[in-house]
Amino acid sequence: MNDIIFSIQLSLMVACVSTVFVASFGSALGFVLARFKFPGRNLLDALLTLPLILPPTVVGFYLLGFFGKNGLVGKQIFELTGWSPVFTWQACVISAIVISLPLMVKTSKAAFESLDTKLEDVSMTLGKSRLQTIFLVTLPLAARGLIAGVALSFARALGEFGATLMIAGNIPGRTQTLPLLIFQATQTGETDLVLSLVLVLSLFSLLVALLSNEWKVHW
Amino acid sequence: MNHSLQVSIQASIGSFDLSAEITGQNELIVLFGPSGSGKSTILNCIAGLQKVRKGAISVGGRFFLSTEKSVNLSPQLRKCGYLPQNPSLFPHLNVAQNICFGISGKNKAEQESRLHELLSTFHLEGFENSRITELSGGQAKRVALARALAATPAILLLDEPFSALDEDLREELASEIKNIQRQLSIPVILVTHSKQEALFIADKVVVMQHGKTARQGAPEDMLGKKELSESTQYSW
Repeated sequence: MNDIIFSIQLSLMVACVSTVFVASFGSALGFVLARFKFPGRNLLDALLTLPLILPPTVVGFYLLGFFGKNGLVGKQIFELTGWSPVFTWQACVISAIVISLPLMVKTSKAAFESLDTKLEDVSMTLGKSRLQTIFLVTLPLAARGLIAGVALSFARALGEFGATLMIAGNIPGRTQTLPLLIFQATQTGETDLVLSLVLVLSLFSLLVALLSNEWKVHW
Repeated sequence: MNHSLQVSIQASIGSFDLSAEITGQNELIVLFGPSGSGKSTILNCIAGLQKVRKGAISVGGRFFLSTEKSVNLSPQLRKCGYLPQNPSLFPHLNVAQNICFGISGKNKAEQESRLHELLSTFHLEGFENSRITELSGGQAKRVALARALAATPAILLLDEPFSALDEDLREELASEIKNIQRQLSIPVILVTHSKQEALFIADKVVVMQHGKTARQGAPEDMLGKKELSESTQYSW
């Protein structure tokens, strides 16, 4: 029972922490991709789409190459702090961020692209600065799309499995998220537990999908 | 008070070259020409929404732009009263919030007073709390015009203000715009490709052709006396 409670708590914490990062960074990236033309824009867009297309285990493999003790970034972190994110709850957050970021970027990019830029022009002729215009016009008008993106990213982070297994492992009481617990319970034949956890996760995901569809309606 | 208008600009938008020379006073200037001749682009240049390669724009002796003097005020500092072809009202705000958008920095009492003044001028009383989607085409244009005038701009830029309106509404709105111009005594630049509209409302006509201001002067000289005499009988 303790493992179940821990898994639910860990999954919710990972989803919340990653969603905070994904919502802010993802919507900023979506805005940049929707509004600015710069060299490498298509490449950046394609790179940000990759985690959606690649098998999560492949993404996990890349993450190990990045954050492992001998990885590109992980090596520096280990040398500086003596700590490695691999097989920690922070690794669960990293994989949730990478896997759910494309959903936020795609949704927010679509939301910003669908806005009539003439409204922003008018706001500036009415004495508002670019920053004021973003907060008074752009964000309120894109809000529904952004909220839908946040909801989808949260649900995706909550259900993340493959990349998490690769970089965080499946350590009960430490890195075992809800999907990993379902995987383990299936392996050990705990059918009743699996069914109840699957049902909870499915209903929650359905609720998020329904709400995000509702919020996607534009002004 | 100085209300002179001086526009002498060159701009490039892709392969389209624009070259415009406009001078005026506190009068209603109509930019007349076919679609794609650069009329709306001139308004965007004056409002600061379009990059100008070379030239100068001054309103009431104040430079909005001067490439020679390295002056280029941002749109928010130019504060032109700008009405795009589509009224572009903010859909997340109601009528009162739209009108007060440009004067939100003023205190509540001043905002309320200005709001009621504008609602009365444009016959919009009772619509303060209406959503934008509940307005007719004519009402939406009026709200956009009220919003553009709220902060008392030094110049009013109107891009095809009568488009998508029926004849009665066009005539009514044209008369209102003429009255407002007389009351405020500021330069108004109005874009149209309709000769009848130009002759009905203009103090001065600037004819645009292929991205250039071809000629400018009195409406009857620019658009022909024959058309003028016809237009006086023309009913909207």
